[in-house]
Amino acid sequence: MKKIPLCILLFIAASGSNCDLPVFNAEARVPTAGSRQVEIYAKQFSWTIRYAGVDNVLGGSSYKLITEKNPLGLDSADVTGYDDIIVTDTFFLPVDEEAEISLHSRDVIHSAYLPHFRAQMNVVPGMTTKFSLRPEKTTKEMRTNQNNPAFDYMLLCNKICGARHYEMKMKVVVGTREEFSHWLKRHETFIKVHPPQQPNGTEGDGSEQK
Amino acid sequence: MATDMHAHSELHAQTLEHDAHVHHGHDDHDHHETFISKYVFSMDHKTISRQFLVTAVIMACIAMIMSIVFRLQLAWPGEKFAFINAIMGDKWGKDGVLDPNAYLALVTIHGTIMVFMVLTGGLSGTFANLLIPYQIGARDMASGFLNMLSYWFFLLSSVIMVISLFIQDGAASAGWTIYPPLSALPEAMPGSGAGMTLWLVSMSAFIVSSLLGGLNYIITVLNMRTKGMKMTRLPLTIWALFVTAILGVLSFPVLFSCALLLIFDRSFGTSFYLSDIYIGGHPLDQTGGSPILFEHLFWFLGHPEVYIIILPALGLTSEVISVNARKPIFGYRAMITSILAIGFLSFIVWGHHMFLTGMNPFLGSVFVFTTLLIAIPSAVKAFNYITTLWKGNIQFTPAMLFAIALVSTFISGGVTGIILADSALDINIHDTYFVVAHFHIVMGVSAILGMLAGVYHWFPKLFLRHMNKNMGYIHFWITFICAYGVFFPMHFLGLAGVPRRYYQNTAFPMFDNLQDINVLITWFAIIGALGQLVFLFNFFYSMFRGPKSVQNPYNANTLEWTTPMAHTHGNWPGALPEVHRWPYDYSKPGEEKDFIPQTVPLRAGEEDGGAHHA
Repeated sequence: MKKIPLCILLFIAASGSNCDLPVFNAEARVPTAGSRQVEIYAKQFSWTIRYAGVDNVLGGSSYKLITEKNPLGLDSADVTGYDDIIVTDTFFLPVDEEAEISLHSRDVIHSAYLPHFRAQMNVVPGMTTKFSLRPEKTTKEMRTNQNNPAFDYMLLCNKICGARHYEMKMKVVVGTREEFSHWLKRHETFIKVHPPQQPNGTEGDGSEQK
Repeated sequence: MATDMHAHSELHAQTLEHDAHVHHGHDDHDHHETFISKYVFSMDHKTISRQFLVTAVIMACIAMIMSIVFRLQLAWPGEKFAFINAIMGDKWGKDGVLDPNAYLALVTIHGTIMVFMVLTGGLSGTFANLLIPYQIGARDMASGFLNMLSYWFFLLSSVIMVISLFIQDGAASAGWTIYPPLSALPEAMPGSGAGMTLWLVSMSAFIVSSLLGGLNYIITVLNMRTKGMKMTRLPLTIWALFVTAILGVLSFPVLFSCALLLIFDRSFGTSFYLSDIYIGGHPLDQTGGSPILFEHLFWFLGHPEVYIIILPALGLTSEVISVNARKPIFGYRAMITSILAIGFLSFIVWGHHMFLTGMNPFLGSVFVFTTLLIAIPSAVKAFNYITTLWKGNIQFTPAMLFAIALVSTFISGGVTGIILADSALDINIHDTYFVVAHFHIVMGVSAILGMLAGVYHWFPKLFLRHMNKNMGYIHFWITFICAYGVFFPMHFLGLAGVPRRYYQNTAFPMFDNLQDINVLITWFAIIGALGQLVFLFNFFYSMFRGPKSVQNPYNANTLEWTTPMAHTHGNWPGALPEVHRWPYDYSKPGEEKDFIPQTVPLRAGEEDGGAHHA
């Protein structure tokens, strides 16, 4: 009689551990090669998104390199970061493409919560956390399906982070590959915004920042 | 000192000869007792239990008022309330609107007070002190002095926590879980300054209190049981309080180490929890640490803590249900095994609070498994309560209603735990109102219901009088209905993605049509809070003017009902009772009366029920 709950439990545990969900299955969670590299950067009280650019490699960064013009602390000595694109208004993802998202925090623990995608991951200062996401429906499709022309995907903060935790948000948009490229082109790459020069105009290796 | 010698000779005599020292005369005092030594710095377990109870009731009122303040803000964000200005003052409740930093301070201190002061100090502190010496047949705890210290450290920690509310920059506000770096850096939020320091001081005192109490309870249960009181003749209340004390002694020191490292990071420049931080316009020096270390240390206590809270409530429920159903508790041995299993398993599930910290999913699945396992002994207990009620001769006292209600909330809150235990499902509901609903129903409401069952049932032992029954019924129904009314709708908010610790939900259009649910919740909260006034009046009035009780008002079997109806130092004037049977001989087949106290010897040929009632 007492064995019945145990058997039911073992069945639930076993069938759950057999599942193919990438997030739950250690083998399947290795991201697809070539998946789009994106960084979600969290700070009190806003989100910043960094796209890896043409080389699909996110440039190195360090909190010691943070300045007003370089809010993510990208290392100007690392050429892979030159084509990175930093965006503060919208998180745009192309539909049907896997994005591998790296998460960094500037100050305290935050949590990137995307409820419509059933995705969430803590953003912890001092380490990199990751999750992968493959959007299946564009924002337009959702607006039609939900019968709500004002629908938008959202990125929320879901770990208490201070006074304005409740309004730390970013709009998320899912569109076609073309719409995405078109949108991305309107933003400048890191090297354009932050050329590796000393403020007095002479060329420098850019590694000495305050 | 005379008192110490008296206490020492007590223990000595008791462990050697149980009935040979009648001349010790415990109702007249060998040592001179003043008002201070009798009622204030008392070393008598009965007085100490009352002190714990009254302090916990006051702290619960403070925490509940806080919850009404923040529920008003959640239901009607930005609206002006004179009540908010009255409670919070002009700085934090300017124009009757709650300040966002103050909101976070309220939820933090509400959680801290409820989890620690009310449900640990108020449950364990009150009932372990009241029931352990009584129900095992001892004159007092092993060390009356340490016991007294345990209460005074508890009071000290409560007072410091309340003082922290008046700090200029605000009380601790990083959630009751106080994760660093938010709780380590005053630049991150104002409450992480002096308010957080006082929180840490208060909690250090609280941990001392818990450890002193817990050690006492363990030693007393093991060493001071009266003749014939085998471990398998102990009431389940004692088993529950005993295992709870063991859990506390093993886990509170880890919380202390966790807090100590945080104190170091805050004040001495260390980097246990801090690395790679840029805040306040400059990078911090600390490198190499990790906030995840804090989470591990915190939850290593945090999870056993919730069982430290619920086990005493379950133990009290076993007693109240059995007495008021006039039936032995079903599955006495299984109940003991379940308590032990819950105690053991509670140490290997803590990672389920950390599924989303970037943990390897395989490790996550290990914690999923252990967390699902712990549901089994919990379910065994729930089944056993229900089976005990089945075909019982049920006496519907207010205590019984609260005990039965605990079975209801323990089950409904417990099943959402199964959902949260699954690390895949947790992704979408972690840190949302689904979690708030779960832990309030399974732990908050259930433990409070158990505590109230205990207060109503043992009021005659606490205060020699009865509480008013009709007020008890009114209090019960308001509490039970409003508890579900407040917390059940929160499941839907959580599934819809509403996060915890949000000052308001107005920043997200997707939550607009859920605002009515918040209004409903707040109304239930207000009515529920007002309903507690009935209890408060009943409790304090009956203490002095309630109808006097007889010695054994419920015809119960356990030893506390064999003591005189006057507070007797040493509990039994004359010899200690001798125990011959287990405590659950209710409606024993073939017996004339429907109860047989533990002190009644077995007749020739009669078997002890505990021998084969598994």
